[in-house]
Amino acid sequence: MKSSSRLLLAFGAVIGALVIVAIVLVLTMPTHETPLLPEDTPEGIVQRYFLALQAEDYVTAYSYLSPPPSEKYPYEEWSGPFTSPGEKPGFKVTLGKSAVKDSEATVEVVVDIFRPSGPFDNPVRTNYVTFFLKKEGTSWKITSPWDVWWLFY
Amino acid sequence: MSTAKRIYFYLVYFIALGMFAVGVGILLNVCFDIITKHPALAQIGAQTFAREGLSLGLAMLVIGGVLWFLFWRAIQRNVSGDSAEIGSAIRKLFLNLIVAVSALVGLFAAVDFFKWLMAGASLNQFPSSGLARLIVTGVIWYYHWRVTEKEGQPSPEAKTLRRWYVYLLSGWGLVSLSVNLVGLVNTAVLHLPVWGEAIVSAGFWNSSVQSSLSWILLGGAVWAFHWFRMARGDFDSTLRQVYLYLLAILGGSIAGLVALTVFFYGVFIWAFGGVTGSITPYLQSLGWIVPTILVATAVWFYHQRVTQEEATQVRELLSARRVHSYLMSFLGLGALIAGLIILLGILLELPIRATSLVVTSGWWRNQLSLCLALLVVATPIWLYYWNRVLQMVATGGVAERRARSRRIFLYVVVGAAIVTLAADLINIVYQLLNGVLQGTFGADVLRHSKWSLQTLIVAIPVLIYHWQIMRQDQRLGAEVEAVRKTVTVLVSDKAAGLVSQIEEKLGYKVRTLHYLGEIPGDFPVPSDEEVSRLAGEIQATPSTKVMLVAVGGRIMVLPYQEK
Repeated sequence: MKSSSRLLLAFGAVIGALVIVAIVLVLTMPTHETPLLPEDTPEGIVQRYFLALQAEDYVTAYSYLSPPPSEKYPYEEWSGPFTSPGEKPGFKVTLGKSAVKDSEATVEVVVDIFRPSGPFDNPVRTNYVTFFLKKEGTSWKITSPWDVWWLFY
Repeated sequence: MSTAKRIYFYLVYFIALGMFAVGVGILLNVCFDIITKHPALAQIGAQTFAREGLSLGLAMLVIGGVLWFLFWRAIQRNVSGDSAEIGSAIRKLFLNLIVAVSALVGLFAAVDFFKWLMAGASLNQFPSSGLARLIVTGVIWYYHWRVTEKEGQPSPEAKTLRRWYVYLLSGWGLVSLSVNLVGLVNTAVLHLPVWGEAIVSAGFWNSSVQSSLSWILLGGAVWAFHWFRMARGDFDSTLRQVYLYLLAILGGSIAGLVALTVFFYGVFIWAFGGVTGSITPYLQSLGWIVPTILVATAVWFYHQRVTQEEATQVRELLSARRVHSYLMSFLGLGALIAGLIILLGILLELPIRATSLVVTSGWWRNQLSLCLALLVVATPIWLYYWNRVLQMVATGGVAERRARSRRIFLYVVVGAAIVTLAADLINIVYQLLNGVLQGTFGADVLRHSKWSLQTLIVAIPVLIYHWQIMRQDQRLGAEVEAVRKTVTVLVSDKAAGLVSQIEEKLGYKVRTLHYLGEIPGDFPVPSDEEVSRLAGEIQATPSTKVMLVAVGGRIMVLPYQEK
């Protein structure tokens, strides 16, 4: 057998193994999501915010926001990009490190957005975002980023 | 295979390979994501995301993979053993395109992966997508690179297309290495614990340093592989000369000269007492000036040495070297003129300031510092390169005077000088007449004519000098178009150098046919006089078509006609 054919066979075998591993991994993934984090923590609020966005419950998602008055605009305007017709890309959110100092906190988040767009294009777009929160009474509110329209584009 | 069929095969192959590669990449991404992130981290939407990825990845992998395999097998069946097919421009274009694109995409993915490793390899920021891209492009690059290296480059087009890839990647690697070396040293200098409060407070080991280090390592590896391994021994290549002279030597020179000018400017400002506040910003700027000068000098010196060593093996006076000399002369002359114009501006400003009611002290510092910096840097550069040009003309004769780069240089300089003079004269005459007619003739006229006077005084000698050179060139026949004949040279490999000698003398390209028979002994290298005689004989033949046969130690000039 020629060496080029051997190389192709090896590629084929590796790709076959990859397909099997990928299928097994996806199908054996636990069906439940990560349990809800405590609501009185910054991570818990960011988690609930994204869960609400994923469930298309924009009213609840909006309730977790508390931007500075100069940046704030009405719910109808804020939710405009989400409620427009068209297929919305899937997204996955991974919560990272968080830091709390007095009544302010930050939560690092990795957002992977899945939008296929052509044979040569990587369909996964990864965004590294830091959420800023402040404590209002007993609960945390997200002050920034105020807009997440990029999640659906 | 016909050209249309080749384009069809390779285009579909290229698209199928893209689908296949993206499909494999998505599946790898899904696997990495599940293995590295899911069990340990708080995630939202992970399962839906993984299933979407698996569906699209499988669809693209299976359909793209089958299409890729069928087309690749069909292509390889058509190619097998056929050197015309192997050397076809379309095949080599696609193969080199695939190798170049996969190398560059893989390089960026590798940099991202290195940055992640250096940043502490945090699991929640694991670059699944980047690592998948790195693996896929790495495999694509290796497979196609191996195919192209194994089958060789049996045609001139194949050689040229491979060179495009090799020198593109060599250049990319060299620029990445150099720029990031400077960036890294600059960041390190800015983080030295000597600047007090004036400096950034973030730690040294930040993403900028990690990025610079990654680019230094990977850019350096890419440059070393392509330059030292793939470009080794490729002396007879115009693209190599373009890389050497126009990218490495000219690029290194420009970067070094800019840094040197900024350095001298800072020194002169300081020497003239122009530093009123803290000296820290000036000292900090040395963080990029000194490494830029050092890196640019190293790049310049190394590549200059390479060209000198190769000059003994390449007989022809390559146009890239000539273009480089004229470009450097042009840069040197431009900076020299700018320095002189600023100097004259200061001298003309003196009488104007004398008539002013309020004179700011030290108004001249910045201008004089800039002018001196430009003169100190530009004068030796212009003298060195212009002297080299004069030497080339002295040895190259009319062919050298006829060179396009020389004609462009002279016409640009003379043209710019004439336009400058005309504009200056219009303004000066206008200001004079207006001053006389309005009865306001005085310091204001000088003030409004100052810029024109500065440029006029410099433009006159520049115009006279280059005008004389241009006239001399014209008298010696530089503008007389050589009658182009269709010259075909039949040579053995031993006499390959003759082609470039003949082309240089004629001033245009000739067609080359390679003699494949066995010839005992070496072909004697013809002298310059002999080549001049041959060129004269070619031009003197009554026919427009001439065959030059250089085999067996003899050179015959045979005029012919097609019937």
